[in-house]
Amino acid sequence: MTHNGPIVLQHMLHGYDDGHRLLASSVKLEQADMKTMLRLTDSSGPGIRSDADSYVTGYPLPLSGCFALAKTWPAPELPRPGCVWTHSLLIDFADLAVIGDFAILLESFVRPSGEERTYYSTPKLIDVESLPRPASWDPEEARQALAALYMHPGNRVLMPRVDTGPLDGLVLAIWSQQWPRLRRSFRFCTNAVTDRSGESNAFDFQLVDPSQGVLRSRFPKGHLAEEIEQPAPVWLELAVRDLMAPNRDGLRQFLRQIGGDVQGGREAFPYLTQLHADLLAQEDNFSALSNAIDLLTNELASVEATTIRSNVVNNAVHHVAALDDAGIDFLIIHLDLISRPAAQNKVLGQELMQRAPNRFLELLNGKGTGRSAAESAFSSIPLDRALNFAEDYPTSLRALVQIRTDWAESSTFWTRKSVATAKMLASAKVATSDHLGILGALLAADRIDLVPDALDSFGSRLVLKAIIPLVDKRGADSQIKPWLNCAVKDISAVSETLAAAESSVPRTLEVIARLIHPDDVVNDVGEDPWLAACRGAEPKETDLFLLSFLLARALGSQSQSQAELAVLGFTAIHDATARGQLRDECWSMFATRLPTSLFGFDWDRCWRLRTGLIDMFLERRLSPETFAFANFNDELFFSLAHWAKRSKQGEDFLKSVHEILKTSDKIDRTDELARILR
Amino acid sequence: MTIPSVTVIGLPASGKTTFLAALWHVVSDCDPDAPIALRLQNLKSGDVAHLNSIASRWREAKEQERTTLGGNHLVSMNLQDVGGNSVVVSFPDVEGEAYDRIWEDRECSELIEPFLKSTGVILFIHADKIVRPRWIAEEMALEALMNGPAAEAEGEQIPMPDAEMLAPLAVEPQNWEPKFAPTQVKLVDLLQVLRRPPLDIGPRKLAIMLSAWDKVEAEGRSPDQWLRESLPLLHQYLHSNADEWDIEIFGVSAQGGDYDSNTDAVEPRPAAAELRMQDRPADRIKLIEPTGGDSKDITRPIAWLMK
Repeated sequence: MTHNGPIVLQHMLHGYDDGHRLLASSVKLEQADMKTMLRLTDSSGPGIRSDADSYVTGYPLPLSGCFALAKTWPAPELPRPGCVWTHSLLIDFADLAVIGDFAILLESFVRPSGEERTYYSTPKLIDVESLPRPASWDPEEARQALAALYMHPGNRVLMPRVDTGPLDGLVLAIWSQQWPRLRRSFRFCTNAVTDRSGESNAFDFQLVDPSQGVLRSRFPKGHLAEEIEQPAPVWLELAVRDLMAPNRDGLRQFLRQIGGDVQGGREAFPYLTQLHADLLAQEDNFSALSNAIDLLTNELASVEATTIRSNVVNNAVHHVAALDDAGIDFLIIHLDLISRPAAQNKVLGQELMQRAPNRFLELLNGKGTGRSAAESAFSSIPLDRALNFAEDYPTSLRALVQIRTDWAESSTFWTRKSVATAKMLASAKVATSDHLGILGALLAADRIDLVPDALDSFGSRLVLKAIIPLVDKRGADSQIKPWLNCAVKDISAVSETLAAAESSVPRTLEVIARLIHPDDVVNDVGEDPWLAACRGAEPKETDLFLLSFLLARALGSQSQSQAELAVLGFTAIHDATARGQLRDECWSMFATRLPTSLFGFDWDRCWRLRTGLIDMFLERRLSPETFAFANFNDELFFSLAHWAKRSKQGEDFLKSVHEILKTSDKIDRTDELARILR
Repeated sequence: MTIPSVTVIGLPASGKTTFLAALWHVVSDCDPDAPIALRLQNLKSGDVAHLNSIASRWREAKEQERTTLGGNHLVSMNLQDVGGNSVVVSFPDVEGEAYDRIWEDRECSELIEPFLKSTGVILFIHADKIVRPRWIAEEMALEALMNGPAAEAEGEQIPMPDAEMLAPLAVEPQNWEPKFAPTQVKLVDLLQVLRRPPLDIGPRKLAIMLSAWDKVEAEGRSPDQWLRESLPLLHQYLHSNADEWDIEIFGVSAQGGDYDSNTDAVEPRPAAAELRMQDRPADRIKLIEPTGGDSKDITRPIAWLMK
């Protein structure tokens, strides 16, 4: 407590002049306060006779906003026995807070002599010291007084006044120790013959002469300070130490800092002092930390003291696991005081998830710092744990979805059917842009129940894109088939997929081919998607089903790449047919599109193949170049050439082929072809 | 039927505490032969220890300490006559400052207000501590004579000062305050206040008790004569009876003489020692009745009031 400027003291003098009355004053007060002063400036009772009996009284004058500190002397020089002089110093309430040691004011009291009154009619400026003075009283007396005052805050405390001086100093020291608000309400007298309390203004502390009759009759509501049983409470010892060496442990500064928030009076002193003791010890002593939390939660709940609460909170976050439920609640309430929220909130949130899930949910579904803490925790734990929590507390699912981005692409999530419902697909799409990842997770989780919803959400094209690599890898197993069966119903998606040539495995194309008709894929312009797909997959001669499918498509009317599709596998199909190794499922795909014989040659499938091919090239005027460079072997090529020469159109077609061959690397066929044409 | 009530009032240092101490001694004494009209029935309120303390000091012929403003000294007791009739006698706010407040501040304490509506009132006036009216001319003449040329030989009449003598004595004017008012002015005002709302209850009985009568007894006047000469304004007020007081004027000496001081530095007084030697302390009491007779019975004014 420091104060660098003087304060103004007003003065009053009371004494006997045809009745006890105000004799001089430097200020005018409210009438009710003047009455109070008139009573309390009179003698505290019979028996005040010598200067050794002089005493100090302190009491507030709330209506006038000041505190009266008065010294009373007996006035034996006056004719009437029992007369007294009282010099009162009136201290503005605001100035009460800046005075470190009230004992300094004792020097300002002046006993009147003669008729001189002007001294009391003018206010005075006085300097107040910044540091209290060392103690001169017995620590045991201090202990008794503090215990009586603060362990029994409703009592009118009495102490025997054996020796004047030191105990007077003790009373003022106790007053000096208090925080400003408590100082303002503290009433005391260092020599009370009778109880000085009024009807509604009880005196807190009165020093009494026990030799003057029975105390009980003079102080019916008084309580004598008694010896304290050892060990004394921690707060009491701290307070006594502070009285003996002011502010040595920082208690005074602490009380001054926090006292302004305290609504209560004396009853708050033990709690505040204990809190200070706990704060000093909390770094190394978890019990002290718990104590501090308990005080701030209960007895000192009304105390705002943000700095102190912040101090406790930022210590407590390092001991989250050891805190009890009340401690956890304390942290939650003060989340906004945590200095490193990013790190600490995560720890707190995780602890809360484990110990108090419902409390965690409240935070998660709430707002502000609490929600941030919960989200921080929720986003940091392993997905499994978060999913377990979501399963146990379905209301947290929304938060999980919003906070974490890894759930949507996690097959672990999609395996939890209780939480990973069809409704989650829409949220998944929002959670991540990697929709292929989501589909991959769905596939891995074997969520065939979600196939229709996934197709609705993501579209068949994306599903096919997700599936193709899997089919390439492991074929259309039971896990993939349901997806494929549904996806290929969207022919335009199939067309896009084929055109993208995403598969590198002919088997995949065969899988698709088995699910649709050769004419399903529309090809109004540009290259046939099947042809593009084959460029990526490169079917081999053993891929007879696919090649047959493509031949059937070529012989149909939907493709713009009939020639290329027809010649792609013609040799393999012709050879297999010649060997009798073409399965019926393959032959049946294109058989109806081949010409039949008027002369009973239908049994000759090779003849039908050759005839069909030549008729297709001639009737549809397909590219001679394609024919020229088709992968026919020589025997098949020349066989086809012989059949084509039967007609004029065929002959012309062959001449074109001849011309093309003359300039290519198949020049060795030109001579034979020229001979066929002659 | 309501029990009559009597309230004892008076300015500071008017003798109320001494009267109370003597009264308590007398009515609480177990002497059945004591010549008193009223005896104690019970103590309604009051600190018995305090009453015993002041009674003890009275018996020991020691000055009572002035009653302080702090604490609750309300004393109220039921007294009863031989016919079994009771009266409540109250001493509210035994210190007289409350009555000063009525005059000076025009305020009546809530604590004493109920008692000021009693059917009978005893007003104490200290016969030896009257603040009399002071004439300005007389005061200035006295001042001038005390500070002017030395007086001539004994018997020479001191002339009235003229302007030349008064000129050097011009003093700083002092603001008048209510406390400077003469005693009789305060008392008349007090009685008038009792006959105005909210304290007025209609015509009632008033017993004037001129305390410390032993100090003025040698003047040879009756209480009524003394009142007329010493407090003429009060006397005129009472006898014009504008406020319909039914009055009797008593003189009382509850001490019987000078008591020892509380201060150790003051030598004990022989008169006090003589008083202590009396077998019965109640014998030191002297009551001068309105008719002129005297009595030892300090309760007689109360007995008159309860009729």
